[in-house]
Amino acid sequence: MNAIAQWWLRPVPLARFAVLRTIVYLFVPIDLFARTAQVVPQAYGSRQLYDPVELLAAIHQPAPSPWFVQALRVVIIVTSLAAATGRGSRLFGWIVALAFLDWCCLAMSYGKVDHDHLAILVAVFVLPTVRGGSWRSHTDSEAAGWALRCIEVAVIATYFLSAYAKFVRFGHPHWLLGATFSWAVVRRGTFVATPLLHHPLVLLLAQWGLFALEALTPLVLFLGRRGRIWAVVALESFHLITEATIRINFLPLMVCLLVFLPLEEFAAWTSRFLLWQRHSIQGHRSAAL
Amino acid sequence: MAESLSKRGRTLRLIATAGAAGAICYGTVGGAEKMFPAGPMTQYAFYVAPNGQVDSIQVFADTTAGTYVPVHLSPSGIGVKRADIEIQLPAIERDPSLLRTLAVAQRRLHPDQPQYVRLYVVDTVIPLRDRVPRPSYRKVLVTWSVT
Repeated sequence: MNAIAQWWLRPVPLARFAVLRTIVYLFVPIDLFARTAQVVPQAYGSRQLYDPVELLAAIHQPAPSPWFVQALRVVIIVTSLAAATGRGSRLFGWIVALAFLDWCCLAMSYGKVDHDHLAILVAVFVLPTVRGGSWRSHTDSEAAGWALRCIEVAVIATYFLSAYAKFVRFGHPHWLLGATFSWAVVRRGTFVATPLLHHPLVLLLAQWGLFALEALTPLVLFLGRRGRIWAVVALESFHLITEATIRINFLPLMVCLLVFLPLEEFAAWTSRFLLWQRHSIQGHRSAAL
Repeated sequence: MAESLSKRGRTLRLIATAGAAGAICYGTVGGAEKMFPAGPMTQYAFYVAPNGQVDSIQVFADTTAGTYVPVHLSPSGIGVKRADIEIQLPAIERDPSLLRTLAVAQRRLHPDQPQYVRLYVVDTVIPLRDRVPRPSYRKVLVTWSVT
């Protein structure tokens, strides 16, 4: 039990947490237009196709009206940008968490439910649990460690549980011999992918590759620094390929994948760069005087 | 130097972790998609037979301008997505008046464009043979006159 608790609560550099917090809160407003942009126009239709997810049904939230979703969007953008500054990030963070959860639930309440938001929803709920922290922090923190571990596990769960759904619950083992990739390319294929329709073996091998990638992702949690960086490069490349071939992006998951990087080094590099720039400007001024 | 959590802080976090993990595990093993965000990861998780078929649903409309146009099932169109229509198709086939939302959204979002007077849900069927697509054909699944 103690080992499990230690694994979840291992201290990490507070600067790593602070950089990820900035990235997540800057991304949330983008998500409203890039991945869940349907929320506002859906509210302009009549309410007949509104089929709320269980969380919204439990609180009896009715089909949203246009003014409600417009206001919700403004609240999320303002509080998210405020939280991104790092000041008042706990108060603003809790507002973002609740408002963004409501927004995402509304986005999934007209039929289709996407699966790219698990990690970012976990992120917005764990980020406000950490006090303080800035890009210049030099300490490690257990609170930040727990928050980042939760995001890491949510990212990996998105991949691994997809493999579980394919192999065990929905597709069953013969998913591996099916034509799911051909189905996807027929429906959504770009000019990059459609020539592959006449090379079904390539698509079948890609299908196996995807399954293997998803099933093996839990290993990333136990890799060292270099292994994690390579894993991020591999998984981000996979997402770029799906965007290029079938126009499906998992942007929120791609953002949360950055949790595996030593982001504190980026923070240190940024402050060194800013310091150098300041000295450089001062040097020019002195020379001019 | 590491900032440590209090005993209470650790306990609360571990309880929250167990609760969330439990919900996600339940959603994955036995829950429905509607358990979002803890539901099963169903995207592309279904089996497609190598000699099966691909269905692609579109909606078309007769308009007040006398034209026959595709309905843009996207955030920049009328909001409802193609996948929403596909998932709600059984309900739409039982009650075609559910399509009213598309006409209402068009009227409110694009008042300057021709409006829908009759809607058609069309299934483009692409048969597969050894995973390779064969020539497609179309079937009209639902028609509904806007009232």
